Amino acid sequence: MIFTTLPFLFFLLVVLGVYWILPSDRWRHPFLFVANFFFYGWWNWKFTALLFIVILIAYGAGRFLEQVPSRFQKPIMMGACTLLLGILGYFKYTNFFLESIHLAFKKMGGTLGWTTFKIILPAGISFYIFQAISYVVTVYRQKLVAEESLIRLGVYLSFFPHLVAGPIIHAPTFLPQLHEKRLFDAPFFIEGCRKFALGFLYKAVFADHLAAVINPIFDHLQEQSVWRIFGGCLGFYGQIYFDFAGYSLMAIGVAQLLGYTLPENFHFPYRATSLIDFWHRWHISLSMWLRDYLYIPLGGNRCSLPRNYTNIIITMFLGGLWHGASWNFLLWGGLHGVALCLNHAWRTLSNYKEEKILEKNLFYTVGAWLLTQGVVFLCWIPFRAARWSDTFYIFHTWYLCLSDFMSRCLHHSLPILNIPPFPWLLVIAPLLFDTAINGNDQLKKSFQWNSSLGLCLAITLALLGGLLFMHTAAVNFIYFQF
Amino acid sequence: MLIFLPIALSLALEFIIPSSKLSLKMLLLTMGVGLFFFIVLRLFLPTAWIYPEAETMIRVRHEVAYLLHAREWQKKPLLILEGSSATEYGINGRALEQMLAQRGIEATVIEFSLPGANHLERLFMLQLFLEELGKKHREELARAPTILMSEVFDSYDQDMLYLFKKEAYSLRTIQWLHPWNAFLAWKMASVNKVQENAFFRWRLLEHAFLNYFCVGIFSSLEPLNYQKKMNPFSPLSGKKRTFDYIKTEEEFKRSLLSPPKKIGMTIPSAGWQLYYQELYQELGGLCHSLVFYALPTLELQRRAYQFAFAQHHPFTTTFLGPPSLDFMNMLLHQENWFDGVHPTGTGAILFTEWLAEEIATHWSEILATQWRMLNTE
Repeated sequence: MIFTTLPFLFFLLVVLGVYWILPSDRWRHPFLFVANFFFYGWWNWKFTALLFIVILIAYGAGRFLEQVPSRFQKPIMMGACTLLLGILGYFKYTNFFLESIHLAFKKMGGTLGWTTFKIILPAGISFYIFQAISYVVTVYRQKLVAEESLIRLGVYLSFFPHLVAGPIIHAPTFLPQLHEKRLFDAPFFIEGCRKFALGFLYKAVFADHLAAVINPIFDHLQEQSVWRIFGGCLGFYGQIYFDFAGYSLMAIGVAQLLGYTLPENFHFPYRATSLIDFWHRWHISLSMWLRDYLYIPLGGNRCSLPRNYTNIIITMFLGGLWHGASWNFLLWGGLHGVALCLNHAWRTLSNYKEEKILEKNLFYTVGAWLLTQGVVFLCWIPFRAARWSDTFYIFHTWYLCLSDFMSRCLHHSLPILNIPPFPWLLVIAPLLFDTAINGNDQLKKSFQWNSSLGLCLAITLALLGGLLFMHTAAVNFIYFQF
Repeated sequence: MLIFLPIALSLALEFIIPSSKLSLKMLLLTMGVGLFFFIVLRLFLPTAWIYPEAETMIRVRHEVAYLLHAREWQKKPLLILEGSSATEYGINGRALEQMLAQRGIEATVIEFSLPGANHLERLFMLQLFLEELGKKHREELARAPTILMSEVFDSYDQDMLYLFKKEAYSLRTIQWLHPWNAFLAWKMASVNKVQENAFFRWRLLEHAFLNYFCVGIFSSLEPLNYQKKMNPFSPLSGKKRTFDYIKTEEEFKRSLLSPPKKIGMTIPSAGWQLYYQELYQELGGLCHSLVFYALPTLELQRRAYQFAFAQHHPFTTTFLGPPSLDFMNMLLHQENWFDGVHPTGTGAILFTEWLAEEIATHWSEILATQWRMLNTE
């Protein structure tokens, strides 16, 4: 079920109505458990069995970890994580590895007898598997008591607002909430509506309109001019943010309507002035998961500098692979890993405190912002391009254009900027306003308006406006595929 | 510039913070009032304002403009052609008008056809036509001998929602599936039992909802005065990549030796009957006659359907076709066919000439047969 469709609207209204009518959590949790499975089964009911198996594995591992002597705990934790990663690996990476082996053999002039399998990737598998791992490891680390109720654990792992596209919720953030009594709190509920309305505008209006502009460009890359390719890449830079941040906001909003708090997943990432800062603002729940369950176990930064950089690159590589079984995602992760290492090296060399002082310098800030966002922008290209050849084609086209521009400049002839018609306003304006104004805390403090009626009106207009403006062709959330 | 409206809404959501008096009652009341105003406002918005860029809208406006500029159109017979791609690519309305004049019939021809337009989309075009015409011209239309000419095509006639599944969620589909048409589609699909998918009804409901709320002008972020130019006749050239003319011609010639195959379908289908009852409700008072026409085709199954339809069409209507064997033999040249159904530009001239000849031959019958509430007995 997609959040921006009519079935979801009906589903949400029914769930909210029944949920708040039920007298206590004793009834609400089983109801939510069933609602979660209905939500997931709407896409393909066969995969509800998979979700249930993942819940059973996590539940069984948690219970075992509490009951067995400590010497058996590590093998149990490792066994459960291997099993969960095995499920993820089978559904998500089997064909990728088979295809890669095929390709490698082909390059060497050989052939293999077997082919790839017909495997359907279950929606949101990466999200709920990572949450299950988070639960098992947290119980193993004794930072959380194993959940006694299968229903409660099931509600946590299959909670429909974040089931298929995150945010990835760490067990200690959510499970304790299931033990507290939920009381209806109107301001909290209305704040949920506000977040949902904002997310709806991000996704249904900004991201989907951008998708309509850029998809034909990437589908027929060879027929595009250099400016259109640039516009398409800039459009994707905005689309992926509005799509994913919009979905996250809607998920957080829906959770709030049910009385639960989900942590922020995006904090104006395009305001970041360093790659380190960017990863503190972009897909925060994934960054934290990778930090807690991959980077720190690898040794984190409490080791030699080369080892530390290796850890960063490995983490980002695997982070890239988490996004999808494709060399393009690996390249994207690898590029971010290298850029993060350079960022860390710069901080070490320039002495971070001095850098803090420099940050107050406007030129430094603008330069750092341009450099950071330039890297982020360029890294999105392999992320979006369907094939390696497309990525190289884009860079090659720009290289040719730039060299032509330079040679014209060197020959003292004015370069001709032949910019074709393109919806630049649609590509630039939402990003600019969101990043420069919405993301500016000082501006918000200075111009904020205290009015309950104003807020209610804004929510109403945003929801109705979202409906009026939403792009009519249903566009899936980009992060569903991950 | 329309993009600044949602941007302003996003700014409002970030910059307005609640004071202490925030209550759920206030939010529900605001939402209720907002929704009520929207629903009422939407009822009174003319379709031309809502979907100014729709292909259907552009076509209708083009044809209405042509009609209103035609000399003394109120005093001459008016032929309204409605069809799918077969008519769109096969019949040139303006040429048909001239060919009829050469045969002594002074009539005005307007054409409402689009590639892939199923019956309900054509109904939508006719509804738009009446809306665009205005009250005064509608009365004139009722006084003139107006003849509605409807294309006969098996795929569309058997499934009132033909191509809906393929075209779902496109702007064009959302435009024609307004709540009333969605209701009709639901009824027609139920009696025809074509769509058995459980999601089918959801989809219809969703399209009606999107139609009502995703007002096209905003959903496409296009300014109000945006207008695409559309040529009412779009001739095809060359041939379809997947079309094997030689093989099709051989099969067709072979079929001439034996009578048309019996076809395993009810003619007319239950959905089709419902549709023409609805069409009568909409246009019965304005149109004098209803004429069905079956255009030339090389596809044997379609031709068999045309023959069967000729036997079963309601007696309160006239049927033109199927084309005779002599005429089909004349058409059997590769350069005339884009595929088994659609002609190229040269083929279209022959198609149009055939239709003009058929109309001229049956003219007195067409005028004499008055369209009444459909009776299929």
